[in-house]
Amino acid sequence: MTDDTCPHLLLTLKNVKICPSQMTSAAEKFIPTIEEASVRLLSRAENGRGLTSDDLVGRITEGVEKYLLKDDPSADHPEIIEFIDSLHADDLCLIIACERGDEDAWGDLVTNFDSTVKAAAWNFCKNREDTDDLAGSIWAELHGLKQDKDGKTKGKLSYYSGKGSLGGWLRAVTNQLAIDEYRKMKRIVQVEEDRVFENMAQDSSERTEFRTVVSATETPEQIYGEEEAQSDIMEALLQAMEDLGDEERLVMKMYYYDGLKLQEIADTFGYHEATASRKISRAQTAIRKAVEKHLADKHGWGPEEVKRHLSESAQKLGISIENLFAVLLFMLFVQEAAAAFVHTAHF
Amino acid sequence: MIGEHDKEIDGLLRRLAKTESSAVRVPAGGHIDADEISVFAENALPERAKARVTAHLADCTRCRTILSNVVALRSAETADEAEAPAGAAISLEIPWYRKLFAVRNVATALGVLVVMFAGVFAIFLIRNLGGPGAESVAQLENANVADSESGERDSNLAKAPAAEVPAPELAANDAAEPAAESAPDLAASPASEKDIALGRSTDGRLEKNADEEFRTRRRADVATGTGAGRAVADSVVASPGVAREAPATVPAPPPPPARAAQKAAPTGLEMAEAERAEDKDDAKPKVALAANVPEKKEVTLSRKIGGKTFNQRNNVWYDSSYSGQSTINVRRRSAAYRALDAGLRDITEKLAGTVVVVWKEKAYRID
Repeated sequence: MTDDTCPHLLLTLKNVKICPSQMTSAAEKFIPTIEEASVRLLSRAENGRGLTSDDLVGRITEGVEKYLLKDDPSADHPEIIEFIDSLHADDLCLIIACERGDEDAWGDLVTNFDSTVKAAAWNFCKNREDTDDLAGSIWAELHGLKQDKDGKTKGKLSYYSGKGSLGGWLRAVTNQLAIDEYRKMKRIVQVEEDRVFENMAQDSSERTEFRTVVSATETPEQIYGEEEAQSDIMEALLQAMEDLGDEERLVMKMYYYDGLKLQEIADTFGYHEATASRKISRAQTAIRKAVEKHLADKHGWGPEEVKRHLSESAQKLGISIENLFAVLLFMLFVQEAAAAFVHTAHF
Repeated sequence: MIGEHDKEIDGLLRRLAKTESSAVRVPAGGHIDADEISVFAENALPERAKARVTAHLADCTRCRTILSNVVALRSAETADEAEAPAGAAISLEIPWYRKLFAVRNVATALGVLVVMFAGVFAIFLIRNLGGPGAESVAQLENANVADSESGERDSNLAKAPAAEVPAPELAANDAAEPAAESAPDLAASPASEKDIALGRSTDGRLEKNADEEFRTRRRADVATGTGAGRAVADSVVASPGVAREAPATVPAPPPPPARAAQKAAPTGLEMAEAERAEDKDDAKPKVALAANVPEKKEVTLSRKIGGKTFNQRNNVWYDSSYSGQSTINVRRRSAAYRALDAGLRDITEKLAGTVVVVWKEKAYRID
């Protein structure tokens, strides 16, 4: 960089200490706006941690690029200002102070957020020992002993933009590390287990005594036909899910695959619980149409036949005859016991 | 709300979830970072980035799982925080009068006191209500008393006791009269019935009510009694002249024995006849009749007044020292009655109805 470079840019770079390689050309024109908003952000922080606006500009600029300019470089100044004004000032100052080696800031971070990290770790581990281990790993990871290509120590703290709360970010980081560790562990044993599981699955599919009973008069051909129909229905369901819009598909997966409640889904997307329920209903309608079309196209079934197969498939709850009889006997026993009790009480 | 969902598709999707929830799908382009996931979970993602992040989350099992876990944890923490301030607010809003009952012992003690007072009040009420009620029931059972009663009344003499009463006592009796007349009127209250039954009434009106009650009982006795009772009434009706000629003092029949208790309701004609007989009996001395009265069961009440013990039989109070001797008949509130000793009048005024009392070795029958 020479003195012929834009003086405004040089001055800005000198004051802000931003490496030019870190800033895209799209962000350059917003620097004054970013600086001004950074001053405002620092002023609304309860504890500025001794930082100056210059200390914040780099991180804020990265956030602007990540959330605004990356997807659409045509963002305007009001949008930039609105984005910066929505940042969590105290959390951002705390994290930047930690990055700069402020021991008091580290102490505050661990004191205030250790319980959050442990709660997220407990969600995975479900025992005290593993929870403490995982929490310790998280803090070590956050403190960061890694160095980037420039030889600078770069911990995960540098990835916090301040757009979300620090507690939420720590939960996400804990989950991320736990899942990655779990998958690493899982991959080590998965090869051997997969073979065992595959053998078990094959044996199970060939055994008929635990097969779900729909009718006592089923022939083998009928059973085979129904199993094939069920497989086709599952395949059609998967395809129908993929054909949904991104938001509908995400909502459906959060609801059915991850077991989230309607209220939790609604809070995530920022609408009412009833709206979430309606979205699921509409998605179900769309899925039904897609599945019926898929089955009709593949098997040549008529509408009634498609409906019958869907209904039969939905009714199969996987209950064996042995369990049915056990439930029936239990109910009879309860009924007799209740009748005897009433009879005795009466006399 | 879940009720509006397609149940068949809902069931099929739940079955699908059992296999797909563990499937690992990683879209091209790598994962999103924890910062984007946390911002998305808090609905703070700018619209520009939302589409990209949403699309990735919809197809990436790993990132979607992280997102769901973060959402669930955030929801749990929010629920815990919501409960704590509510508790604090409630404790701050406890009014002063509730604080009094915050101490368990105080509350218990107050509750015990309330129960005790209620119990005492109930006992008091029952005692006041149960007395006259119980005695009136006994009297109703005794309603078909025999005719030794009527025999006794027939043996009562005409009034001429005034000559036998000493003059100084007459003056004392006059002084005592207003006191008796000023006795509170209890006729209207239930307690008054008890007072009447126990002979506490001193008011003329009460006496009249007691008298009417007695007459009613008598009518019932006569109407439903045995042939002797009816014969008494008939004889009284049929032979008024005999009553007039009765001497002032006649040997009184012995106190009637206990009578059996059972009766049929009297008819109107019989009651009317008995009433006429009663009226006539009041005006004239009674004729002694043979004590040929069948025994019936009766309920005996006892009272101690003025050092004397009185037993009530057939609605007549008998002095325990009375042994069947002849009596001097005196009507209440008559001149002869006022001429009686004050002590005697005090005793008789505490008993309602007919009283047979022995005073200074003389037997008086106060009606």
